[in-house]
This record gives sequence, C-alpha cells and structure tokens, in this order.
Amino acid sequence: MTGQTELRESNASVVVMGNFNPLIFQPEWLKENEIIGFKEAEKAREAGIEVIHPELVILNLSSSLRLEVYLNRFMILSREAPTVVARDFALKCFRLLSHTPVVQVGLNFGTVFRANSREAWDAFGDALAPKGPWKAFLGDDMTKRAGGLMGMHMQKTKRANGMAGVQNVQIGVPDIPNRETQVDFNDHYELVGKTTSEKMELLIKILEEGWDYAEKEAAAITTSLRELCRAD
Amino acid sequence: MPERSAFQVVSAANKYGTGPHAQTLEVTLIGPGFGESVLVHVGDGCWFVVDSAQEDRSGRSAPLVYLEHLGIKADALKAVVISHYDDDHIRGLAELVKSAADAKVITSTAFTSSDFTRLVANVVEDKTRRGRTGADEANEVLNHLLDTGRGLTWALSQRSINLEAFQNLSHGQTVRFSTLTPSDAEVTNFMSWAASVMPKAGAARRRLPKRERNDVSFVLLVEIGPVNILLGADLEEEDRAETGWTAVLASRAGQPWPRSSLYKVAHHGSETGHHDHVWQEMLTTKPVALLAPWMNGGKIVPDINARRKIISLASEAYTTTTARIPKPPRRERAIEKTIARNTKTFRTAEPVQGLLRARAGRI
Amino acid sequence: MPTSSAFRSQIVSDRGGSEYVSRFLNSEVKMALDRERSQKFTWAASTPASAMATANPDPQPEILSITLKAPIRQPQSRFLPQNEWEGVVDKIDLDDASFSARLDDLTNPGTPQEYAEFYLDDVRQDDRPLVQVGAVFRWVIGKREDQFGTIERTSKIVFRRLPAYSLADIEKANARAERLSSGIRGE
Repeated sequence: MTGQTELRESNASVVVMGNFNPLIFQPEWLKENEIIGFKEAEKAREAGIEVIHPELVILNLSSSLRLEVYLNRFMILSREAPTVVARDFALKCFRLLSHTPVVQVGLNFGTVFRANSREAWDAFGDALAPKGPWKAFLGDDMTKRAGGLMGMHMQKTKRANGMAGVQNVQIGVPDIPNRETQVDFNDHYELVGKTTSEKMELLIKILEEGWDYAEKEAAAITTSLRELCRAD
Repeated sequence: MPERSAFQVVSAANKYGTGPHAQTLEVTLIGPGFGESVLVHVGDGCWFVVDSAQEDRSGRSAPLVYLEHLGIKADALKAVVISHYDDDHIRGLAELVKSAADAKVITSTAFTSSDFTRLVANVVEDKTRRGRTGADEANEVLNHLLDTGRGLTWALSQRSINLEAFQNLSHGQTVRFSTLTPSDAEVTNFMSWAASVMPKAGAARRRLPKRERNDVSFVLLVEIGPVNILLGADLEEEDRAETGWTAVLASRAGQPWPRSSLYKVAHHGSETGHHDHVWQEMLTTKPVALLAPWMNGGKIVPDINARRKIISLASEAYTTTTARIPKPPRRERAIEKTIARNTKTFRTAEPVQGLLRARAGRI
Repeated sequence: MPTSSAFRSQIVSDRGGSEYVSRFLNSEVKMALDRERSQKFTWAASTPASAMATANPDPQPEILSITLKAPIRQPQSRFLPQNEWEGVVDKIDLDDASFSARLDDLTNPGTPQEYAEFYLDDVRQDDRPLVQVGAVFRWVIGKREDQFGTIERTSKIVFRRLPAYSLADIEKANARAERLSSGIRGE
C-alpha cells in the first residue's frame, strides 16, 4: 500500500493568518493556561527561545514542537507523532484569545518518504511528469537521466464540504536529490464572517471538526503518491 | 417433574435461515458488541426489540441487520424498549428507533430528565471527540423524538403496556407486556450520577466515565398465553430494599409471579445480576437460560463460578459467544514486541459478537 | 517557483515548505534577528539575489525580507511512527502505579477496540496531573533513528491538552437540553 518506499518523517501544523501580539506567546503564559506543562515551560525558557520580540516570537517547546508567531501569522508545528498536539495547542490558544482578528487558517500535513531504489524513484517522477514532452530539454535517452521533476503543485478549488478555501498538494525534492520526496498537504480555509467573533467561531469549528478530515485526506493522497514509487 | 420449556434453541451461530412462522414465538439474543439486544417475535410477524448492539462488521444496529437477513422490514417492530442507559450498550439505537418509525418507544422517565439531557447535550457538544458513543446515540434519539413529535411510553413499576399490534393474533393467545422497575430511588440515583459527571465551566474536556451501576435498568415480563419470557436486562442486586432484584421481587406484594420458561439472564450472568429468588419465584423449575457475556476491566463475565451456577439452575444454558478473552489482531512482530514491553496487559476489549435464537413451536 | 500575489495568498497558510516572505519595518528587529542568526541557525534564502533585487525595486535599509524554510532547526533524531492509538483512561490504580484504558487503533481503523494497562511511570511528568478517568491520550509506537543511524524501538504516551468547557459552551448545550426535556411527551 505504500509502494517501494520508506517513511522518513511526518509532521503537521496549524497556520493562522490574522493580527497577533507575538509577545503573548511566552512559556509562562502557555504554562499558566495549561497549554504546555511545567517542565516543558522550564525547558523552553532555558533552551527553547530563538526569538522573543514584539514582532516575532519563535519557541521550541520540545524537540518536536515549534511555535512561530508574527504580527500576522501564527504557526504551531509538530514534527513527530502524535501530531494532533499541534491542533490541540492551536485550539486552546484561540479559545483563550477569542477576540483575535483572524482571516485564514491552514491545516498542514507533511510527509517525507524515500524510495527504496533509484528505479522506483524514477518511476514516481515519470508517473507524475511523463518525460515525452521534455525530450527537447532532457534528451530522450532515459538510461542517462539528465535531470527530472523537482517539484509540483496541485490545487483543488472545491472542497467536498463546500466551505470556502482550497486544498494544495506540493511535492518537492531536496537540493541534493537522495531519493527522498516531500509531500505537503495544505487544507486552506478562508474565515468568512462579518465580525471578528464570527470568524473566530469558524476557526474554532475548523480546528475541532476539520482536523480529522484533513488528516485523512492527506494520508490518502500521500499513500496514493507513494504507490507510484514502484520499479518493475 | 420439572416443566419442559416450550423453547428450543435452534441455532447458536450466525446462521440466519428463515424467519419464524406466524404462530411461532422467537427470542433472539445478540451480543456482545457494544451492547446486547433481544428481539422477540410474538406472532403474525409482530416483533419487539430490547436495546441495541453494534453489528461487528458494518457498525449498524445488529437487530436491524438480523431482521434484514430474514427478509423482515423494520416496520415489523411494534415496540423498541430502551431498558437502560449505558454508554457502551446502546450503539445503533438511533438507527433502530428511526427505522422502526411506528413502534412505541418504551423507556425510563430518566431518559428525558433535565440531568440526563443536559449531560448528553454537553457531551455531544464536545467536537474534539472521535467516533460515536452512547451519548451520540441518545442525543440522536431524543432529537428525533422531538422533531417528529413521537412520544415515549414510560416504563413504570409493574406496568402492563397495551400494544395494539399484539392483540388478536392468529395463535389466539393474549400477549401481556409488563415492565418491572426497581423504584423511583433508582431514577434519583441515576440523575444524581448524571449531575455529578456533568461538565463544568473551566474543567478540561474528558470523555464520559462509565457508570458502574445500571441504575435505571428495568426488566420485562412477556406473557403469551401459557408461555412466559423474562428478559433480565442489566439489573443487578445490591441487597437493598429499594434497588435491584430485591425491589422488583417485592413489587408484586406477595402475589405469585407468572413463571417464565425462558430467561435472558440479567447482567451477562454476573454474580451481581443473580438473585436466588428470581430462579425460585419468577422462573419455572428448569428454564432455558440465554446470556451474552461481557468484558469488565479485562475479565470475562460470567466467570467460571457464575457459569456453573447458571448451568445447575437451567435445563439448558446458552451463551452467545465463547468465554475466552480474544487475542488482539496480529500486527508486525516488532510492533507486538514493543506493545508487550510497554504494557502490563494488552487485549481486545470485547468478545466477538454472537447470536442465540430460541423458538417455541405452535402454542 | 514564480509566485503571483494571488498564488501567494492562497498558500500562505501552509507551514513554510514553500516560500513565505515576512516584512519587518523595524530596524531593531533586523538587528535582533541578525544576532540570532549568527548564533543559532542559518536562514535559507530561497530566491537568488537577482530575483530579490527585482522584487524589491525601492529598497529601504530598515526593511528586512526574510524567507523561511521549515524546519529551521533540524532535529537530532527522527521518530518514525508505526502504530498510533487514541486511548481513554478507564481506571487508575495508584497502589499498582498503573492505569487501564480503552484504545482505538488509528493506524488500522476498523480494528476492534483494545484494552491495555499502562505503567504510570511511563507517563512523562508534565502529563501526570492529566491522568484522570476519562482523560484522552495518544499512544505511539515507532522507531527512533539518531543522526548516526542507530535505531531504537520506542513507545510514547502523550496526554491531550483539550480546551476547557466555557460557560458559553455549557449554556448553549443546556438550552438545547431544555428543549428536549420539555418538548418530548411521555405517557
């Protein structure tokens, strides 16, 4: 079900666009509101702070949880399973900060997988981007590959649940190709509403009800892409 | 000489076969499977059902799936009895109630009490939950009843409920349908419990804890001419006058009980579901006993002693499924080793679902 | 990848795997970030200098364009999950320092519900106060691979920090409940 590939990394994040006061998001505040635990706050204070500034806060809350807050962007990233902690973190923050103006939210799921062989990896690239139209650029001798697909972006503009927004799947490879591929699924919602509180209510609803849906979609797409990684 | 039960258990497996003849009684017990359900055919294609269970494969209401297999439509159900609320034991109930659109819905007054409806409404409001629970089933049933204007029939102590569809059946026997409830004290206990676990402002979200007592469980006595059936639901005994079997036995005020020749053993055949006087006063000398086992905190109920007791009291005793604790499904060896290293115990939560069907020929 | 403004606005909600440009108007921030940059990590510039110049025809010294590519800090090890369950605490046995829970296998949906007993010692300190009946947690089993390629099989239990009920939540639910209690007739 996952082709000839090996999973290397999986992560998830919540990104919210709006107007924020980054300085709120400090270890002490997070601990007092039970968004993180006592020891996590201690560790974050000792070794996790990258930036604390009125316009930007970056905290590493553990080896796998990272918070970045700008004036207009909030991101909580979980680099390891269970990635649902990112959603719980965002949900707790925004239920507390219910008067924050918010305009968009993205639920993101990323996977890095490695093909077991060069042949399997080439098969993947050929399936997504058949080389026929590229003969003039890459040459037509497929045994001497002169390059190939470095990235792709697909977008779906109509979501099954009818809510405003789009879904994006981006595929990329590292600068030094090593048979690894990154697949990022972004479920992007426009927070429609007349008032700040309506938009915030919608954000909460999406965080509560949209996460599982997005996670399943991301898993299904990633699995189907990994299946393309097969050498005959 | 012990009376011979009219019932014969005709299948103890998931072989459905055909439906009963018009003048054949049938009692079918399905369980476990997030619940336990009893279907009863009283004659002429008229059925009633007690509680619901989730069908293993499809996740649908197991009694409905059973009827479908027999080619019987849901409108054959003339009553749906909700014998108690237990988060694990009412899966599929909403589908059952909605499908049996013309059936009377019979349940305890606790089901629409403020304490219970508030508890259910607060639990289902929590959208961080995964999957479907008993609270979702209860919520859907209550909303269906409100939206359709469908009423409830209260299960009260020693209440005989008139079901029009069960009158003038071709077998010529009178059908009496009585609910036997312990007492109002149990309803009060249940509502106190509901109030105690009610989510409070500022409290972190948690899943509803299991209720250890089956406060509002009530028993059904069905009399069909000379044949009586006692459906024990989940009633337990506590040696207190106002609760459990002691209260039910006392509710007859000394009058002899119509004796049942088939007994759906209360509370999965557990020690706490047993009361000697039930066997002595409410049942024939050697009835047929049916039960569906259950897993309670990793232990199978009934245990070996309880099983031996039931076998000694019944002419024939059947269980829907084996008493073995099933092994978890196979996983990759490395994963199984890691599970074993990191847990004290690890097992499947419920035994595999089974079905027992008892029929009594022309009566 | 070329970006039009429409394109950028549609993908700004991703975690930063694509380009994300943040503009800071305060030179103090620029200096603070420069300090951080030299000490802790390197910023990955994702557009060549020539493209930067055209993108910013009227540069002001105090405006800083920062392009981020997550993750900024590479983890020391990778955790490769193999199986994940969601659990709900059923019972706690303090004498035995253990708790039992019902588990739903998230990796293999459709698996019958399972039941396990865990050691309280395996719950990290921060999560111990969260171990209550009804509390929800995730249990993940997987392999941890360090930067030397050493692999260790591992298991972790993480209790979920779910939001608290608000008065508004409860009042809304109670109002719905009131409709049900008073609206359903019984006889």
